[in-house]
Amino acid sequence: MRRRIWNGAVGLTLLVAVWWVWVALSGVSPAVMPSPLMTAEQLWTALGEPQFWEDLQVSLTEFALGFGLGAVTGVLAGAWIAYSRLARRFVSPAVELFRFVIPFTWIPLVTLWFGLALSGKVFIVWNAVFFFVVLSTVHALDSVPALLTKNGRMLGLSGLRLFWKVEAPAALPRIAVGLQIGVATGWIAVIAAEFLGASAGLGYRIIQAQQALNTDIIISRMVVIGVVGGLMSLIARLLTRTVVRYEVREG
Amino acid sequence: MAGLRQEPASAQTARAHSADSQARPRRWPRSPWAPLDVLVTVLGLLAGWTVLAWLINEPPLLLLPPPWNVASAFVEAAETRLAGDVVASMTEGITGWVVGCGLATIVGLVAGRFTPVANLLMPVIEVLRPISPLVWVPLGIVWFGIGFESKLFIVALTTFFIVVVSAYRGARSVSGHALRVADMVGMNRLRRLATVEFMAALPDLLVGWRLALAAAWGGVVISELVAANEGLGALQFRAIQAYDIPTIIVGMVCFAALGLLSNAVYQQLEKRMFPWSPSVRERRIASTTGGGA
Repeated sequence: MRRRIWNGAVGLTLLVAVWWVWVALSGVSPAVMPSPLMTAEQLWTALGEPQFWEDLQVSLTEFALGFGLGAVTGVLAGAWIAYSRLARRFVSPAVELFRFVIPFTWIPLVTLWFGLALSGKVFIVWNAVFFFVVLSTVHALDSVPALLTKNGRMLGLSGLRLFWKVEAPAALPRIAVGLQIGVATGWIAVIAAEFLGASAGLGYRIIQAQQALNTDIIISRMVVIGVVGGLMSLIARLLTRTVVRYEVREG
Repeated sequence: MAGLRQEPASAQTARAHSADSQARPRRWPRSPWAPLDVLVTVLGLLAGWTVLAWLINEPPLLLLPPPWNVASAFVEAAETRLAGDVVASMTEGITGWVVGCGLATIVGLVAGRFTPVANLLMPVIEVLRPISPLVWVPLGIVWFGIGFESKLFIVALTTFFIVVVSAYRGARSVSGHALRVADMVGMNRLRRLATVEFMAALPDLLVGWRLALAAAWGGVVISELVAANEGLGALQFRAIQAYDIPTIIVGMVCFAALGLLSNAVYQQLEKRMFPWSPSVRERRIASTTGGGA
């Protein structure tokens, strides 16, 4: 952990140094590449403006709703496929088929369906999260070691009790990994969805800045998106570590 | 092959266990999908789509066009610009992927073998990686305009950040044994990097390249949707402005087909060229045991 923080500090310093030297030496216009100082100043003023916090709030709300829906429906659908023969035969091919539809290609359709409304972005995030979660849930439940289930049966568990006491806890670590990936993809999907058909949010702000050639705003918001995404991944990992305090071994 | 990489002990025990775990009784035997089941599913989806379209639509506004409207939109697009758009998207995706993979493979291998390079480069890459390449799209447009170059930039960036990690990890898995043999037969460091380290990293690279190929299409979609004159994303964007939902769905289907097709071609090439690679072997096992682990 300390090594990672140290590496991060080194990387950041190097990056900013190269960026600064390059901007200073090449005399490039700030519309193309602002200096790190300009970008930091922009970010600092933005932090004092209500618009910034509104954007952040909009993006986070869209993410939270989309991810929440995606996680719940994904786990449920995954469990359905894992336990129902019918679903395995007819639902899982459909999931596989739709998985190849790139989530971002839904954006044009959703802009026409929902306009600028929140629900459109929520749909895109749901779409980006759902398929990951379904597949990882099916995989997780399928790879519960048989020995565990057998032991559970031997101890007299069956049906729902077997599921809650043995199978669900045994599958949880892998489901959690699927959810962690879902957090990362979902957050990016929010930003991408806001590029089109939005009236607020971090992604919308970047596109506005691009059209006005306010490159300092673009870069400072990119930093914010990166930091928020990194923080959410960190929280997801920490949550996983507090909930899943065990390891499931094969055999 | 086995001698080129040093394997972690966990990989060996995992393999010892896998034979055992394949014999585990399932809730029911899992077979690969029967073609009939897939056919029924597809027909069911089409029927559901038709019913939904029939329920949702209020005639002047075609919110969800029935399948045959999409089919006729496809024919119409195919007679006009579709081929050009498909070729444009494909060129952007494949070129960007090749450039990104090439750069990332070289950088990752070098960083994996030369610690000073790794100490300088990897922290910078780790700082940039959490910012998804898709977020770079507006910046790419400012820098490179709305033409081919900005798409190339985005796709190359997308693939670079995925592959560089695989190359780095792969290069570090080289066994000291293989390196000493290479030195003994008198390879210079560059030659050794291009042969011994590269081959040792290949199992990681093959996975990284494939993941990057899938991600590349996401980069194409977003950068074309935001600003482009040609490509499937541009087709979709024009369709938004014309309120032409069938054509939007045509774009979605074409993008999905590109992703599916490129993945299939990649896996075929992988099988032909590197039949010994673990990713190929895993798929073979999966297809013979039905579903697999």
